Amino acid sequence: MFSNYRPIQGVYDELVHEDGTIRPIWNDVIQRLNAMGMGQLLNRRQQALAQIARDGVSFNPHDSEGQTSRPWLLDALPLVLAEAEWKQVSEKLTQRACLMEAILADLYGPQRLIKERIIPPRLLFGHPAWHPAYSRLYSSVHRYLQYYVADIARASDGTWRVVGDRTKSPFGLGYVLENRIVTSRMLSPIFRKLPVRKLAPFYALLKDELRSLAPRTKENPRIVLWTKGPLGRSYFEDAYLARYLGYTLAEGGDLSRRGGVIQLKTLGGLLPVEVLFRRIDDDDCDPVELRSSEYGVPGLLDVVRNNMVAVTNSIGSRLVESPVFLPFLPDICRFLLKEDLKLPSVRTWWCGDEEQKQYVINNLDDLSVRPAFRMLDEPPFHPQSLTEESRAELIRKMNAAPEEYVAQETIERSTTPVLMEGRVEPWHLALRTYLVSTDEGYKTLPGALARVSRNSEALSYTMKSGERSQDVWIIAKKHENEISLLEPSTTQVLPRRSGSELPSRVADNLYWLGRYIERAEQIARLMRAVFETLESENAEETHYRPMLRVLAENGHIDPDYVIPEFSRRTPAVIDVLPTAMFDIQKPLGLRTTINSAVFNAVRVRDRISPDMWRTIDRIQQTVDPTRYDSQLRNLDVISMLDRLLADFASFAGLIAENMTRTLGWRFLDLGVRIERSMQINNLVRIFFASERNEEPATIEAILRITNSLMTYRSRYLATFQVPVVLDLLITDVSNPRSIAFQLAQVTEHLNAMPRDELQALLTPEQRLGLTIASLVKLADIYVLAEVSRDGRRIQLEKLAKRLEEHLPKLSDAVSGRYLTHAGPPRHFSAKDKST
Amino acid sequence: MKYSIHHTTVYLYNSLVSVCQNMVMLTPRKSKVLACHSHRLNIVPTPSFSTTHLDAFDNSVMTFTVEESHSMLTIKAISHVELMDWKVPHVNQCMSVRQMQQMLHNSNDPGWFDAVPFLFDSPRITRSDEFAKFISRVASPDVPVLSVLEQLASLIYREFKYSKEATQVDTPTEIAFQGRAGVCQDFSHIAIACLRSVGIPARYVSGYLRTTPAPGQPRLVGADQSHAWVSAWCGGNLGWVDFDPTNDCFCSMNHIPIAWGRDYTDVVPIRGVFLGAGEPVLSVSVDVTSE
Repeated sequence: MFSNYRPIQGVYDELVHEDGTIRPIWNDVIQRLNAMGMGQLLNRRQQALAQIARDGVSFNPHDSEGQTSRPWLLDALPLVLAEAEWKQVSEKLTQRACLMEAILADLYGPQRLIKERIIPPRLLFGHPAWHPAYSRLYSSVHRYLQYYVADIARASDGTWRVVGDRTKSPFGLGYVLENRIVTSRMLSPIFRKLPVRKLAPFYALLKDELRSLAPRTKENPRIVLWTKGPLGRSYFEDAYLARYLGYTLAEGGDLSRRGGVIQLKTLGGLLPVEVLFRRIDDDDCDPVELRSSEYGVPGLLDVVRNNMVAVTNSIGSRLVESPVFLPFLPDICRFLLKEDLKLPSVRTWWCGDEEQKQYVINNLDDLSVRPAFRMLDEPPFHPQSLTEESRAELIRKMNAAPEEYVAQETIERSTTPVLMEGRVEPWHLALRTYLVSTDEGYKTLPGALARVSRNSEALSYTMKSGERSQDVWIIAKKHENEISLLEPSTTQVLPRRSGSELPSRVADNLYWLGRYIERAEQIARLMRAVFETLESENAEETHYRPMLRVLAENGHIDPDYVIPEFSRRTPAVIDVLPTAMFDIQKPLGLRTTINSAVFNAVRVRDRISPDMWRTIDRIQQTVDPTRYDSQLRNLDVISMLDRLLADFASFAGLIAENMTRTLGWRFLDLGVRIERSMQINNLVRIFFASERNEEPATIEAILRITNSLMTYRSRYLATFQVPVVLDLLITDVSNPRSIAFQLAQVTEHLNAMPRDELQALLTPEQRLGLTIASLVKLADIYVLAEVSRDGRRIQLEKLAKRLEEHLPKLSDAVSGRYLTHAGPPRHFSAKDKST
Repeated sequence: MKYSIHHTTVYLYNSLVSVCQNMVMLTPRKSKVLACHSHRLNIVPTPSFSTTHLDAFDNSVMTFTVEESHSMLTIKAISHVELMDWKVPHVNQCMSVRQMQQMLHNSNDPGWFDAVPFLFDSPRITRSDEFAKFISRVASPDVPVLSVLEQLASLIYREFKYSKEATQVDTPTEIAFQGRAGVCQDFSHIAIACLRSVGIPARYVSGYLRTTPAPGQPRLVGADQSHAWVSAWCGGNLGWVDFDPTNDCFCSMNHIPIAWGRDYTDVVPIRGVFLGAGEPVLSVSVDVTSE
């Protein structure tokens, strides 16, 4: 497998020495891979990729940039490093973490670095990431960095260099974990035999560290992972990490400052939060003191100042990520730590210094140029590959504002084997390493996020397509003991049943997930009935007219179809429906409804099981028209709808059988029940209230749409009579497709909702629920079925109308009490003008 | 001179507001020219929580939270201050623009560290060639910084139109500069941008003017609301010198400083975030009387 592996001349290779012999640490891995054979390896890789896809890892339909949420494809081969070497790297990284910590402590404290002229004042006071509010946030004894992340590269001489420091948030920590889970499964026969250092203990240390930050409670403090939400680039990872670490995933809107502390808004009321594990930017944290931001928590900084909540990494930490600090680090290190910098950075020149600028301009073609202060993931300029014109433009800009630019040497990164179809190729390597602070100083993760690419330069900024990621195996001398995150801690945890710690926003998303999933299922059922009727041999217009009316009322087809004089002029329904189903311009269309369900599902993805997630994924894939590259006309609609309905059924099954009966489940089911009552009521009204419709074919159709045909047949055989049909669909509490059944469930849910214990009276939504339930209970099916002289069923119409009015009110009442927030926070400083 | 200051701000909402978080900078800052004898804030409804801290520039900041439903928020600041004489230094003692630039580069001037935070770009101020070009009409390298300030104030006073309609509170400094119109906030920002563009540290001062002029003097512009002016660094001997481009003068017994920062964003008198619908209607009254 590796016999044709040819490293690039003059580049350090992780696998082989310059003379072509294999480095000893790889021997075991290579032997075992060879024993496994290329065929099996490719097979296993295929399975692993399928697993990643099934886990929904690459699934983020609302990504605004149209990117998948997993930025890198996982490679089958791991990167192998010896523990002895890793130990050396770790030690150096530890010093660097301490250095970053010391810089922040100085710049937000005594500022000796500036006063003693170690760095120019511009680096702090002219830094766009600096805000005066960050000074005096913390007491003088404060640790800024609970974690530190370094991007490192190995140069051709075999030494490691730091390419970038990351101090805001440990991005990638979730992918590291996922890479390990998938790779260890893919290569399990090999992985199990080798003493690969485990990752779990590091995450346990991280949890310990976050717990220790809690300012008030030391036992089991409430910690939340503070995310930007589904529109943020790291949302998948946020949800993944929150699940793994056991933290509630909270958006800014889920948090609020009340009574001097930060609270999580839950259905059970406000719950105090002690630690915010943030994944959002420094300046987004507090819209009162910093910039206006939808992600922030108004008043947070004040709570931080009063030491009533911990935010990690500390607000303001991002400052030292800028490459402008790199040229100064050796001096800073000697000044602050009284020792030499052990792990050098990639050589960097700041053009704010006249001498360095001259060097840069004289050697421009050997360097890459990037903004000195900004820390966006944008590619650096490579002057040698620029046109003469843009090169001159760059030099002009550098001369006009030299302080804004740094230049860096380009290093040819080391290479490591990557599995291609049937062969192994050397690709360049970038490593992201992670350190966590502990009582005994910083500890390094025995592993890393490896990214590999054919192009060395492509790795110098993050996101890039065509790259891959690898698991990193740090191989020890001998096996270590197993440690799991679920290992019992010293304090005993009492069994809990409640789920009241449900953020209101999550309950809201679950409720609407229920509503949209049910609505989509009803649409699919209706469509299938339409197609079955239209494609049957005795399709008569009168049989399916009520169905067309339902379609028209919901905007699936043009209203002309239900007016006999017009309908002849329109193209056949059967031809326009498939397109209509996939049309996202139709607000009540099938695909639109499914997308809305998915939108809500994405926002609660840390709350729903992988099985439910896969089902939702399949449902969305089924209505993705790009999957049917041939004409939609030729699509076998009925079998597509069959597939869809099977998935809806399995989703309902998962809700019923696999969700614990917490409030989350109740809100999801409440959504389903309220929606289903509305849908049945709508069908009954259109089929029976305004028209007689007593033909067996029509009655059969509505029973088919409501999935009640079997029950009906078993009770009444082939006789179709309207009163008993109305009983089955409206008043029969034993039919899970009747309105009465839904309302019974709704009442139960409402009674189980959290409420003020001292309040003995019924809540408004309980009252509304009871009103609706008794309307239905008291209904007499024979009276409802009576036909007036003009062919209408007046009583049925009345009932349908009242249900139509009351059900949305019930939905609003529930939302009003439990779900909706008071809208986005607003600023009011904008008008106050000094004159 | 003793002054009493009444600064009342009322926000009227068109629906109930359940929570609001606020930050106010209304406490007169003690300095060489000002002693604050008493200061109190009356807030209705009564905040459920309030604290005071010093910001990075040593201004006093008060934050408070109102957690009861309200449709009106009233913030009344009442201060009694004593203003010493602003000594406008003599131009002979002042270093030139060139000397200033060199001094900031490598100097042991004791005031240096005080000045450098006000040398760079800030949220509302971006140094540029346009500002540098404008100030170059009065700031050649050998001119004393103090003369630059004097001439810059009158240049702005002559060439810019005072107009409350021309700009909003968040109008970018460049727009006000191009439109040659605005109010004290804009003129101060423009002056600061010009000074920093040639390497002179400058800060934004928020404060008040006395409402009725001393006998025999004209009423100053901007006296009915909060006012703003500029403080520029003139080097070790002279330190910070305050001037008012809106009224074309160095600051005098009529100018009462509250707080200073890099620009308006650092010293916004009242800012806050509330939960509720609609835009609030704001009314402000400022009354500064000599005692």
